[in-house]
Amino acid sequence: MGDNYTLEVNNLFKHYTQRIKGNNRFSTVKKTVKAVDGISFKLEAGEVMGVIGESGCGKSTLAKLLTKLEYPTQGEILFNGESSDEMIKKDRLRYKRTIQMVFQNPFDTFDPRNSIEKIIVETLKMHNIGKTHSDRVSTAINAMEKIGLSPAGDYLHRFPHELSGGQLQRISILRTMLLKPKFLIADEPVSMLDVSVRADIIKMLQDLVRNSDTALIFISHDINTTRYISDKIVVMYLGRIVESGTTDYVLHNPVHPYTKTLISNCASINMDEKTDVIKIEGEPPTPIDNGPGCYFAPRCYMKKDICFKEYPEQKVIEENHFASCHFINSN
Amino acid sequence: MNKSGDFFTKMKRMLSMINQVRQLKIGIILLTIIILLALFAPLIATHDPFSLNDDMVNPPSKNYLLGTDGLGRDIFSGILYGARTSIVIGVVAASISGIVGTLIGGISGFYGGKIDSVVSEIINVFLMMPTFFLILIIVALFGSSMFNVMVVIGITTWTGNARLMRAQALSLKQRTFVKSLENIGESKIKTLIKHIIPNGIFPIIANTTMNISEAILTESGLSFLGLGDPNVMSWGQMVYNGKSYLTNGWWISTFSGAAIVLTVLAFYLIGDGMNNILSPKLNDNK
Ligand SMILES: Nc1ncnc2c1ncn2[C@@H]1O[C@H](COP(=O)(O)OP(=O)(O)OP(=O)(O)O)[C@@H](O)[C@H]1O
Ligand SMILES: [Mg+2]
Repeated sequence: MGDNYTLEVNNLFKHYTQRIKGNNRFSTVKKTVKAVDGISFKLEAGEVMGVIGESGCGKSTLAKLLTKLEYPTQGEILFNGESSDEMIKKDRLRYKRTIQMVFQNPFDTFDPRNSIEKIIVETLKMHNIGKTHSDRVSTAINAMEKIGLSPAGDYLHRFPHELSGGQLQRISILRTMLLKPKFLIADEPVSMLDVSVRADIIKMLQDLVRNSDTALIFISHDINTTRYISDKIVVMYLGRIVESGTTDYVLHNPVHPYTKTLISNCASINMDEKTDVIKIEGEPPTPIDNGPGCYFAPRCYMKKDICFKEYPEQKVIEENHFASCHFINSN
Repeated sequence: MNKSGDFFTKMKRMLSMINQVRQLKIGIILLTIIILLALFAPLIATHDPFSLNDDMVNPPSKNYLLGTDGLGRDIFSGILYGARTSIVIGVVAASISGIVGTLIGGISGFYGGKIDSVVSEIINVFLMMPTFFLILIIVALFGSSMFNVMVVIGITTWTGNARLMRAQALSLKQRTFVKSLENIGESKIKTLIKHIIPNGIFPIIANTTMNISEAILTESGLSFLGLGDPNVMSWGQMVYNGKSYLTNGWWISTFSGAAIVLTVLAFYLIGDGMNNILSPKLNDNK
């Protein structure tokens, strides 16, 4: 039980093959989309890891790989050293109880034809939680009251379209909570919600982490929210981690030009220091045909010849702070 | 709780929807009348439909409302009892087609991969086959009992439903709620049966209603060719019987033919109305 539960991701790849129309009318060219392109990290019980990066950099794909909604092309995911492939083969439901996910779109997270009661009770039944139907209903009521959906009786018989986005997202988090997962992935959990309820949802996630020692992977575009909630941060670019480390180190002392760009474009983070906004060139590219050099090189303001020749190795900046760039003087 | 209130608001919404779509309204009224007539056939009928009366090829009169056929059987009573046969055959055959099509199409679209390629090929093969002749051969080989006819129509027409359900499954499985069910631990087969099919069934229901009219027509066609079940009264057979009296007994084929047309029309209108509700865009530019 109370042992130090760890998640370890080793060199994870997910490549999709896409058919694209070729030059002449009848030829199709197969292209490989490198959605996740070699990711490794470690996460321990109770930790919150923020994942930031532009649209299309593979954040959702990473989430799907971890929850086994998709299977990796290569690489492994280990829980306490145990292979996730073995775990899910042995006991699918136990695996689901180990790692859970909250989706970006709360309006489409539930079957529109099921009532809230049915949604929660069926989940409990599936995982053999509670003995009788009324047992499970009262579990649902208690949990709903606790997160501020009270009186719960009012909500139980409603259908998803009769609730607000904030309420739905709370129910989505509540449902995962009832399974007591060791790890929770929240994929942009507030991006589709009204600004006024975002803080509540973030607070709910935070309480969950504090009270049950669940580790959280918080995926977001929003650096401010991520900074607020997470202990460490991973910055992704085109399927790779370009910089990672303790939140304060990464955000106050960013070394990778991409991280610097992201932060400089984010208004309120550096209120005190007046830095110029670094303009980033071009649109976020799709992860097709990148390399052989640094993936960020075409848009980088520091690019030199070497950037187009080889991918920079990961370097240690300080304790718990890593980055991959040719122009870092590692210690 | 307020479940009964919920029920009433739902009924109200349904009624207003039915009122808005004209085809649906007419179709439902027509079908209600037909079903009532079929249900109360023993009370309404003026004669035993099988009894051979003395007046043969009698034109419509007070005694024989719609006349009699070549053997002296009362047409009006025959049509009332024939309605039962037609509706039962239509509904059962279309239901078999609907259930088989939904399951196969659902599995094919939801599971994808090799199963899907195989099923798609089978569907293509079925689409290229001349269905009516296939039915004809099977009925000729295995006999023309009502049961055979229903099953044969059912299993030769499932492909349309399978295609519809496959498309539904393909689009539904991309939805977040299906991923969320997988994430929470629901098994694939349960997701298909409890979530994909109920959410994608509406076009199949609309199509099945249309299929009922097609099944009724197919049965009539078989009967007209002399391949109907001789133990039941059916409209197709009445048309068939009247064929040789067309010159001196027009009412035999005409009234039974009209019954077929009206019933087919009723189901067709309902099916078309449902399709209109489903894709109101096609109907907007009125
Ligand atoms: N099933 C798929 N087939 C082919 N390509 C895919 C598939 N799923 C994702 N991709 C591609 O992989 C890349 C990463 O997608 P992903 O959804 O993980 O991005 P993301 O970081 O979550 O973006 P966003 O911030 O917009 O949610 C994208 O270029 C996307 O087009
Ligand atoms: Mg995403």
